[in-house]
Amino acid sequence: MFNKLVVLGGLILAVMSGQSWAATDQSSFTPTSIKVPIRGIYLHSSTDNQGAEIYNCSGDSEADCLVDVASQTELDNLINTAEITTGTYDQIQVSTCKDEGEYNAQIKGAVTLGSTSYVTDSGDQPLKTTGDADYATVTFTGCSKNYDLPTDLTVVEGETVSVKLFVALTNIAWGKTGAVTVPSGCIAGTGDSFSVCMAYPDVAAYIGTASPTVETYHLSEGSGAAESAAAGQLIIMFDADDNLIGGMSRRLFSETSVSMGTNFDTPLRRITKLDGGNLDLENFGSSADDYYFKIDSFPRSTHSGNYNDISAPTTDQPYEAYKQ
Amino acid sequence: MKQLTSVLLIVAVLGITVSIGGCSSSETKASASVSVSRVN
Repeated sequence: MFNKLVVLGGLILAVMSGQSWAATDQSSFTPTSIKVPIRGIYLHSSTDNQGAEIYNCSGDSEADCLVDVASQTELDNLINTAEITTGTYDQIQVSTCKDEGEYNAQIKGAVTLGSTSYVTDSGDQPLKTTGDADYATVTFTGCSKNYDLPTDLTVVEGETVSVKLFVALTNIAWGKTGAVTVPSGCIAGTGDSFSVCMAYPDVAAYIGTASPTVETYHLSEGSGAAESAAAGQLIIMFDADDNLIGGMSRRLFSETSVSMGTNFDTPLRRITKLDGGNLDLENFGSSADDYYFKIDSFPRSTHSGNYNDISAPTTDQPYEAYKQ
Repeated sequence: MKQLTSVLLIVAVLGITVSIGGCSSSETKASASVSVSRVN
């Protein structure tokens, strides 16, 4: 269903293609504020590459278009209605820069590393132990991303359609004592003493007015692996009728997490419900036509299973999934 | 000759009508609203 999600900023994925490494010197956290420049939102047709603008930031600069995506109040400021050309659309495109090729996001929050509590900062180091939290700035490669709609949308003359975008921010960022984990979406302090990273703030797109149900699973590598060892997360959204909306995979760091042999940096490129309710899913790989891992039958409960990594597509890799 | 001219004129007028109709069709409009929600 989501197999046509096109990543225009393909380089984003390419530069984030390293494996998932967890260690005791880094930990995930949920920022209290995440400012992202949202320059435009479009209905898009992947067939003819045509778009219909439904939101446009009137500002000329990145700073003029920053939206705190952790604040529902600020997200509500994006609500807009626009006249569009009739036609069939299969994607939503979110633009975060013009022709700069990259954009900056600002993160503010707190994270505990070892027994020490840190807050983010804008100074020489992105983490500090004293004072109030300030924004650490991370840079993402790429200017826009296209997200598949659950079904193709045909808009006829005189019709008004409602597009909803959902953002999931729990454990989207991580702090570390040391150099950055990945090149994109990170900032390192002087001498690589501290670093802060954030996963790409992907959205799931939906036509209608649903309030989604979000299911989060933490994955640990190996048969019988403990939940505390989890190093990957799957975030999957369903509408009120239990129809799939979309989802994403993300890294998960804790003091006890153990690295997994695959990559959790990308949205889910394909996810379908099987007879009986299990999910058939795979995430994006280093390009829009590739994947990092896939799971043929993923029960929607805490379970043991096997995944396949792109490097060994026919080899079962055991995992434990813990539903949150 | 007058009949041929009349036919050509009618075809020409019809052609313009069809053309205008086509343009008009491609420019028909609808509306889309967008909103963004944080879900966790």
